[in-house]
Formats: sequence, structure tokens, C-alpha cells
Amino acid sequence: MAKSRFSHPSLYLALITLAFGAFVVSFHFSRSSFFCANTKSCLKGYRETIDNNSLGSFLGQTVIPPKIDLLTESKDPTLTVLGDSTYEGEKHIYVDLSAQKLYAFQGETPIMETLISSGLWGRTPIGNFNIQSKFRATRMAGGRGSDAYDLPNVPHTMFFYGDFGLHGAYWHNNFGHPMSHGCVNMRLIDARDLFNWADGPTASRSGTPVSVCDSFTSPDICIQQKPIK
Amino acid sequence: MNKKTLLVLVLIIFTLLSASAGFLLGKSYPTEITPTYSPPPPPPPPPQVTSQSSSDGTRQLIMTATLNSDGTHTYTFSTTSDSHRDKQLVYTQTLDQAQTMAIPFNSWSPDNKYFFILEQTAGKDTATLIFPSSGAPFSTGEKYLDASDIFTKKGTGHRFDQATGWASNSLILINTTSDSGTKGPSYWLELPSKAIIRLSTVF
Repeated sequence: MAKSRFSHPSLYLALITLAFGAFVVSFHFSRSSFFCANTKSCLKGYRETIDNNSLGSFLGQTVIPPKIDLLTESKDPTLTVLGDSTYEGEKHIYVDLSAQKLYAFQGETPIMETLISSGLWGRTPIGNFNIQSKFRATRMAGGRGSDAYDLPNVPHTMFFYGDFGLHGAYWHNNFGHPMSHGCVNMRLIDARDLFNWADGPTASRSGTPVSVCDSFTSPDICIQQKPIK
Repeated sequence: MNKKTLLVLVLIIFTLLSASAGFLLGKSYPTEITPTYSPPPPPPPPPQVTSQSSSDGTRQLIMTATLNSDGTHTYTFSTTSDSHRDKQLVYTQTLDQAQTMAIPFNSWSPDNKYFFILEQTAGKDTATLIFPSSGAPFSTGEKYLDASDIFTKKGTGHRFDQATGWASNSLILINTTSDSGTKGPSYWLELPSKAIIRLSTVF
């Protein structure tokens, strides 16, 4: 009796391998798509990148990035740091997605409250994170079709989950309304002040906590329906 | 005593009596007087000053609201740079009590070349006035453009609801409502062409 075409052990093995491969690939992409706000630059990784010669693009419009001169900034006597060294307690940043607001607290002392723009073309992850890295500026690129973007000199970037970060946005001024691919966009002066106040990670300590909430009332009431972390 | 001396004496006495009578008649005595105190009018409230910074913090838009004696308010708008050396008066408007003016959070365009302000009635935006921050008029000669007026005249079939902010240096985002009252599509108003562009994304 002739063997069935589908009973050959090598064929089973090939099918199992194919299914496993498909699972691995789909898992990788589903994970990376949520781990990446900026689908193009995310894959390359991030470093501090200051590029004062390139133009940016956003929503099909050409935008001129702000020029950054680290030497001048380091001597700026007007540079202020939020809060006061006398404030006690842990620093904590809260993002309220429903109100499109960001709050910064040190202990129970409110340090900042301002409007932000969270994810419109991609979701901002809900959960409890810590600042993982801080860059004075970096380049972000991603999106597809009409919402494709490539933005040099994204200022005062603080990543808190994958490449989801808090940063200044020089290409729009529509805060209080979702307008990003998953990051938390801030007015330039707010991003600068928050960057100078918040702490990145050290060898002995995590970075400043960042809680992204569906809605926020007070540090005790940060409602998170489906936190990923 | 001769007649002459007598006459002099009579004149002296008459003079003294007249002076006394005049003094007594002219003297005021305390009487019950009802005081008619009218307090001075209260000083007008000090002008209310609000301001909004540009995203990069280099420019300020300042609104001063002054209450007038007839109950109206005069709103004055001016811009300054971060050095506050070049304060420039941009616009003045007097409105009745039912109307107010406001500077929104997203007033300044990202490149600080334009800003917009709001005229409101009962909290609803009734006019969205866009100005070049240079103080110069638009190339068409208009001192300002009214986004809601431009949008309404285009006849899109949707009602202007709110200008939320700037999508880019020269694009204002407009949210609308449909005739049924539900949320309508979003639009761009492009400056200075005044083009209205319908968007596939609702902001």
C-alpha cells in the first residue's frame, strides 16, 4: 500500500518548522510594533544625535529643526531647574491620557502641570515605567504614507519604554490633543524643564518613575485599565 | 457835654451795638444736621493681564482686559520677545459684557510667525483671529484672518467647532460638527492661502 503524501515524517517536520517560524516572526513583529513608537529609527537604536544641517518632515510638510549648541547652553545663566532642592520625596511623572496632561510631583509637591500630545497614529503604552535614558536630542523617524515623518534634533528626549519617550515637539503646536505615534509630545520649554529636573538611571538607582494613566486625579489615583507593566 | 461830643458818643455806641448784633446774628449754633455722606466711587478694578508663551519660550502674547465705566471690556493684545524690549501693540477690541476674549494654550505657530486669539460668547468660540506676529498685515492687506469665517464661507457642509492648534508652521487644525450634532471631520486651514483641506484623520 502506497504511503499518503502527507504522512511522510519530513513533511510533518517541515510543517511544524514553518508554523513555529511563523509564530516567532509574528510574535517578534507584534512585540516590536508595540515596543516601537518610531518604526524606522527604533530599529537602529538611539544615541544622542545633534544635526543642525538637516531638514525634517512631518505630515508632508518640511520643518526646520531648532539649532542646538551645547557649548552655549552649558554657559546659559538663565537655565533653570524645576522645583527646589529643599523639596523632599520621590520624583514621579504622571501622564493623563484622557485629559492629555502631564504632572510632575516631588513627594506631594506639584512641580509641573502642562498639556501634552500622546499617541494618535500609535498607542501610548499604559503602565508604570522608569526613565531609561536621556538624550539632549536624537533623530526619530517612522510612520507610513501621509503620516510618515523624519525629525532630526528631537529635543530633550527621555525614553521610558522601548522607544516610547517624553520629548519636545517643534513641528506642531496642538497640545491637549493626541498628535504623536505613541510618544508623549511636549511644548519645548516644558520638555526642557522636565528634562533638567528628572533623573536618568544610575548604577544604583532607577530613573524617575513615569506612570501613564487612562486618567489621573492625584498621585494616589492613577487609573490604568490594562497596564502593560 | 456839648452837642458835638454827645453826637460822637451816640455814633460810637451805635457802631458798637451794630457790630455786636452782626456778630450774634452771624454766629452758628450747633443744630441737628442729617449727614448726607456720599462715598467716593469705587476705583475701577485693575486690568487683568494674561499671557501665553510660545513653545520655545522666546515670545510672549499678552492680553490686557480693562473694565470700562459703561460695563464693556477693552482687550489689548501685544507681543514681546523674551528680552521684553520690543513690546508691540497688535490689536485692540472693545466688547460688551456677554463676550470675552482669550489666548489659547496653542496660540503661537511652531515657528512663532503667527498666533491666534479667540472671541467667545458663553464659553463658545465665535471668532478665531489669526495675526502675523510681525505686526505687518497679511499680503492681501488684511490685518488678521478669521478662521471660523473663512471656514464657513467655504461651504464644506460641516460646522466650525474649534481651532485646536497648529499642525505645522502654517496649518491650523479645525474640528467640526455635522448637522446632526455629531463630531465631524477635521480640516486644515492653510496660511496664507486660506485653503481648507479635509483630513482623513480626526483630531
